[in-house]
Amino acid sequence: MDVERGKFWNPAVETMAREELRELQLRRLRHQLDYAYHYSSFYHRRFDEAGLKPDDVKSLEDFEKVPMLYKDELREERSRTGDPFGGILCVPLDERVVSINASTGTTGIPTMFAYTKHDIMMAVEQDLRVKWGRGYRAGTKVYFTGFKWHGYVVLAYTAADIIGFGAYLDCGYPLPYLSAKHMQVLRGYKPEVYGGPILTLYSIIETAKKSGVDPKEIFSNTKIIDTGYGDIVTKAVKKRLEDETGVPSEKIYDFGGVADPLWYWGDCDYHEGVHSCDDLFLTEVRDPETHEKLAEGERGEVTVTNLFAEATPIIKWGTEDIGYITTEKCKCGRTHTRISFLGREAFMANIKGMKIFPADIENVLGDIPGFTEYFTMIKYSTGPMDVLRMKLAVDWDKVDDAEAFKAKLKERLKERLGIESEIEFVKSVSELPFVGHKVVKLLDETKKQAA
Amino acid sequence: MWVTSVETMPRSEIESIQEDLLRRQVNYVYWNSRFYRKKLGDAGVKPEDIKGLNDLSKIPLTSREELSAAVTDEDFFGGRLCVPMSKVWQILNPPEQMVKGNVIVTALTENDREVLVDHLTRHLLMAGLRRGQIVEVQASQWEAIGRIIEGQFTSRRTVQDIVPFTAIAIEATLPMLDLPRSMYMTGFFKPHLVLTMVDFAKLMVNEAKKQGKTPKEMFGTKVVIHRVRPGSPVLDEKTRKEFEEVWGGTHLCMLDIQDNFFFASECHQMNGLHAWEDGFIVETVDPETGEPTAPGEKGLLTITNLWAEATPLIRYKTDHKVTLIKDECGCGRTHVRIVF
Repeated sequence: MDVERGKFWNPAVETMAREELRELQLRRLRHQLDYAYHYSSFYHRRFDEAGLKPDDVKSLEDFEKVPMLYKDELREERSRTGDPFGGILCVPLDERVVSINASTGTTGIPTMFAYTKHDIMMAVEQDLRVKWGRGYRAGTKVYFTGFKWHGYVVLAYTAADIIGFGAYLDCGYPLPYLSAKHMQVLRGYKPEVYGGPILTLYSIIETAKKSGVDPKEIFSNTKIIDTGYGDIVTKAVKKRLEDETGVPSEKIYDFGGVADPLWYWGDCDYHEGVHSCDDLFLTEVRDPETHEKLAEGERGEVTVTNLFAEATPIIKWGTEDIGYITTEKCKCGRTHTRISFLGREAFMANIKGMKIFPADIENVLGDIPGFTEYFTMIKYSTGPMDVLRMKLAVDWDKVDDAEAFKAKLKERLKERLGIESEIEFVKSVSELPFVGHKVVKLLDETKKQAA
Repeated sequence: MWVTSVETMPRSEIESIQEDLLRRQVNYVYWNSRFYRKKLGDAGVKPEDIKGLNDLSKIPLTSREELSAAVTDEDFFGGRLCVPMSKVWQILNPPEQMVKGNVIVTALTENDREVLVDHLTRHLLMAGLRRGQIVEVQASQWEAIGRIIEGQFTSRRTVQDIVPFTAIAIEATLPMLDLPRSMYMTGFFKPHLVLTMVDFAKLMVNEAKKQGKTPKEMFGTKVVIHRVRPGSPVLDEKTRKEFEEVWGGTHLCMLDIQDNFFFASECHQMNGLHAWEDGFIVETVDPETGEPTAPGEKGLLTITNLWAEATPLIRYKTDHKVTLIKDECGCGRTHVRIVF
């Protein structure tokens, strides 16, 4: 008999009362701490060093005693001991582990994590909730672009087999020759859902335009775009994708995750932050320096604890991403934590103590016609700055009066973020600083001045 | 061996199975594939004309260029898809860098996948895969092999379910981009078995040399399977010797004709690539005339798929010049062996 799921994959859990969720989290957290302490040499030593026994954590407040964990610490442990997993592997490698993944590691050497079948199935549950919520059903034609080595691909395939949607995957490097192939396949396959990184999508759109094809035609049958995959889907990005592909911005979703702890999330139809699964993960926001837990709504480093991992448990993991959370019930009915990501700490401008991220600018100005996501914020002082200085490449087709446009941007920034701004328009995108094929969103001029 | 009774079947039995399957498959594509309906119709061949293996040469050959030319805006299968889309489990597009023109896509149904799992399990057990081993699979996302060998966690079976092993997946679309990751992983885990391609393997050897080491000390792999795919050549004896010297272990060659879901690989005797004749008819044809070549003579490898439901190809002509050996191998397997 078919289970009546309605709009939720797992209605009982997704709409569980907050108190129940907190109880569940505490129970699973205590088990996980106990498990990690007894099976992992790394956690055992860390807890001992902190003078902590797993039993000392009796409430979520007690969790404060547990030290934070950063990727670098695992790397150090690894080079010290020669153990590729840095001492966090809790199961025998040859008996229980079904998959080993090297994370995307933008910093060079990949970090390694292992997963048992149980780990993968629990992680797939998150993907199922996101995808079902967005309307994936048996027979839905889906085209994904991704990377084989990325842990997510396994989850996507498994979710496809469980829900029964048609998953057609291909390599997601945003390269012209691959984009030409994607373009052909998209025209032939006519998927109802496109899923893939923002850059791959942009690359397909550019390739289509260059070969004289209207991107709208390529996406003519596409009703949903799942994008993000590591980049923040801001209002400006959505606006651009809506204009180019013809898919309404309400149906352009943000999907992302941190591969190492198997943590994945996605937003719902209301797009008010991404939903994390509280029964599987404990999500908090902490001060990046003091690691103190911050209240809901305050901006800080997002930290995450995996509540189910058997192979490589991850406890109080610093994601190095800045964001804020809320546990208020979402309009869609889900009760789990919602997170609004802002970006990496290094890409932030401090205006009179207000931390401003490029994502803020895109979200605030994104719906003003003529605004593009091609802009550069300038950091001209190491301390708090008085005004936000930025350069912007304007879409002049949509702007008649430059001065009025500038005034509108400034007014909006003042109104929404409470900051003064100096905006300079550049003639074309090429006048902005670039790294590879990406516009530098925050240009640090303080180092230049010092030299 | 995975299924000894099949792998060591006498030739007469193999041929009787092939005859039955051929009749069924020709009838199937004639009634279900627009592509083959037209092709057989043009050649004046009716399904009932094909009574046995001797009638095989009546069927015209199929080339990759034809597949590409058949693709239209309305139907990117070019009329080859024999089942409704709802029966398709997975669409794949085999590597196409080398081919100009349209992207050629293939598809697998659930049943097709089961057969592929069986075929690849036989190949990998033949190469020495055993439970508990660490296996590195270097493949592209668009290739069937990755999804058949590892990474399924539902009721659907993979090779990993039959022979439980630990998988490391490496994207191999652009070897240079993923080289550092692959080197690092291989160096760390020292996998028992590495499934790679000659070009990727050479890059790894060069990179190891650059770091002042040899793959032998870095990886310590027991078995390396070099998969042949467009752009990555066959493992010839000279290259095999070189690899054995710098890398150590056994180096085997595996042929992967993705358009037709055909795999053939060497056993440790290294005396030709074993194909599974209970699933395929393997022939060689003259490159000029297209006529079947005499036994033992070189010709273009031509493959007939006897089991696929979604996109089977009949008498699919490849670019590989090979000879066939139909004698029993030293390992005991009786199926045809392909020698380059």
